Amino acid sequence: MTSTGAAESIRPRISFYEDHGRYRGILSWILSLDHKRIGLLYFIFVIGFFFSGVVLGFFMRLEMIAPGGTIMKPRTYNSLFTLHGIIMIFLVVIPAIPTIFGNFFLPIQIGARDVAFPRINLLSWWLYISGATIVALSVFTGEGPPDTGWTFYAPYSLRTTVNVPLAVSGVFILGMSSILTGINLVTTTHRLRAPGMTWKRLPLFVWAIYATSWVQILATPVIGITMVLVFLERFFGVGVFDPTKGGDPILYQHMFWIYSHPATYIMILPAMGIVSDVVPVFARKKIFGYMAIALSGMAIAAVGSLVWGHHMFVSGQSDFANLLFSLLTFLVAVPSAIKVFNWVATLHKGSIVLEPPLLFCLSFIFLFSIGGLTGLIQGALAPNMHLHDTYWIPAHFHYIIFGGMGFGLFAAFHYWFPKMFGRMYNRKTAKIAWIIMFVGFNIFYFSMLLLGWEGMPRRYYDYLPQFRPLHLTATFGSWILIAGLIVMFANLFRGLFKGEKAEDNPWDAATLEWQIPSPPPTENFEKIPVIQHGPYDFKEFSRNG
Amino acid sequence: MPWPLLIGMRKQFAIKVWILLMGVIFFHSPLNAHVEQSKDPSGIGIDEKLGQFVPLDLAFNDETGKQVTLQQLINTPIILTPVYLHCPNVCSLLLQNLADVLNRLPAEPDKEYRVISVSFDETEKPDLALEKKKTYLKMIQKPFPEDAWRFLTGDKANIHELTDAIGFHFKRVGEDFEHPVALIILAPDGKIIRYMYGADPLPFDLKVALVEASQGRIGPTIAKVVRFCFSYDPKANKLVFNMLRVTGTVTLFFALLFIVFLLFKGKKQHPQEVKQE
Repeated sequence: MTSTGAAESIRPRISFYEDHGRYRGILSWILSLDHKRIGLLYFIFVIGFFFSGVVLGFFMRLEMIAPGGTIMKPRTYNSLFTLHGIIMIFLVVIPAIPTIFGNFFLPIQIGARDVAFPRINLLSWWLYISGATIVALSVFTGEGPPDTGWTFYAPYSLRTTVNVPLAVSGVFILGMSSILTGINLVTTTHRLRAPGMTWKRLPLFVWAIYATSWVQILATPVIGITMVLVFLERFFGVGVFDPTKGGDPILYQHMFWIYSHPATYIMILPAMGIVSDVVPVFARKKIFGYMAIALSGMAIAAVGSLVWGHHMFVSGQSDFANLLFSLLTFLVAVPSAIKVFNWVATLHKGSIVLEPPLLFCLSFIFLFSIGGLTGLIQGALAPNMHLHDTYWIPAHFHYIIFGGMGFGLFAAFHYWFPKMFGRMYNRKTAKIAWIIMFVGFNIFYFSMLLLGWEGMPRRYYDYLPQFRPLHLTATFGSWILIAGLIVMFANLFRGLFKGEKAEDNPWDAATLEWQIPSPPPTENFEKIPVIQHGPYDFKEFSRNG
Repeated sequence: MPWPLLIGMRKQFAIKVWILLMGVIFFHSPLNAHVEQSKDPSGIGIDEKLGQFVPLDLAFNDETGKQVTLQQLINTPIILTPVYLHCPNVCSLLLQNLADVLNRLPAEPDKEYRVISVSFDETEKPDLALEKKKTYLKMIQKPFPEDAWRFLTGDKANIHELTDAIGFHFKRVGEDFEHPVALIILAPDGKIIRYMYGADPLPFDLKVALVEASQGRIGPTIAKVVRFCFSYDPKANKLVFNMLRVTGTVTLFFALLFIVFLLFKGKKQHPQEVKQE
């Protein structure tokens, strides 16, 4: 039996939607142990939080449309950028791809029936929801929402009267959720691979999630400990970070970034995995440099864990540390570039089919490259002095996180949508949404890059009149971007209910998830397949055959 | 010097015995003479009075020895710098940096702003003020109207009335002073608009503050941490580092255990596969 033969041998069976297990109604979801149902639970909440983050961002941009107070007070603005950051980072971009698509597709792609620890998987989701609830509570209780910025820098976070402790506890619990998901997916990859699914035959999405999971396991405890220390310092006056109590605020920055820099790789690596899976399918060509991509992901995870100090060039750390961190930052660009070159090489001389998932991946490559190259500029010591804490920095990381991870996530939506829901969205509308978003995104964030270059400080509520034209352009771009988002989600939502029925393998892809029915049955595979070829071997899937 | 805040902290120490253990090490936190903070029990620091007014009827001596009231000087946005003129370090650093910033500041002196440096040492006289004025004006490399930077001296009562009004608390220690380091931005009507802490103001921040002052808008205090001229002694914080070391080791131990489990346990055999074979 081969994996390709599996499709024919599977008799029509009920999908995981119809098989509600032991419970009925809503309980059949929130108590489900099925990795696909848990993936969809995350899906719903991540999208919900994404939209609340977008709304916060929208109001921030609206405030910045003109100098001086426009629609809110300075303190409100401080809370807005803090909440936008906390929600987007901790509730959306860190969990999104591993929990939604990692959960849903990693087991199927390696030929397993579920993750290694289904109960822990459900616990992760409950922890995620609990953490998110606590973060949400911090907005509405106490003396107001946090205003520290998402970084919770000490000593301000130790002194501000607003609700930092609650937000910090929320982040702690979200961290536990993240660690458990990591452990689960690593164990699944190690132990549940189907016969014949060697490490060299793993889809690159699995490799990416695998690398990410290790970062989640090893880096997340650091933020947990940091948050506990902030908590202790606030309530018991232990002087760890506050200089007036003999503590060291720089220590806080180190600990925060030891987690939070690797966290940016938790965000981007899975998106890179998606691109590596999607590009060969729509280029109808085997991926170029399979092992290079797989191992560069591991290299990014490893070296990326050692570059945190580049957030702190102006903090007063030693010159030697600055030099070292700058050097490592340049080194981590190498594996990222390897991936970009390999994707482009895969497209070279391929039979390219411009379907929506590929368009999103192409824009990923473009936007990620801008994000990566601007990262090198600020990773060099001298320009960093100039660019530090200007709009350049948020513009750079929005190119990486939104242009990279966000567009990667949207690629995944469009690529796996027919498999997850058994229906197809309108492909033409998806392409229109893509072009609107792509144009809006660049108008928005490129203006911010220019603003930063000219010295506009980040997180400021007010600005000098000379910055007005670019701020106006950025706000205008944000409207276009949001319009594109609305079109895209409306199209997907419509497809969910009214889309035509999807075939099992609409993209003629070779990975295992496309060899089973859409949507998949509860057990994924009737019989565990025996794998005999790699994930990008399209010979048996030619359009004519 | 034992850190005085510990006195306040002891109450909580009594409740949480285990934290007492941690607290012990903080007795030896070294402090610099120029450490400032708003709630220092010794009374040194800044207690912000944003939105309040400085008393405009106060009289000081200008560099020529002539008596002037603040009323006469404050009719543009004002950069007020409380210093003492023979200060050996931070005050002169502040004024040097300020001179450098004024050189680059995109605003017209005497029209869009004026600088007033008030000595809080009542023993200092106008001749020293004149000497300092010459020094600092020389540092500004462009033509700078003499009236745009005034150096005032005065008697104890007036000095204290002014410093109390702006919430600036300092203490004489022999010849010298322990005092906070900050620029205070005033509106043309004497309203306190913004506190800029530290000896290293940025032109951009100063410009924003002056624009706000010209409109009478009160700005939030930023970069407060700059005022902590603190020095940090890693030896005194050994326990914190040990805590980190222990938690780090425990985390890595479990990670290692996990890797060993993955390597030795190998792939799981599916019951079905076993049946098939």
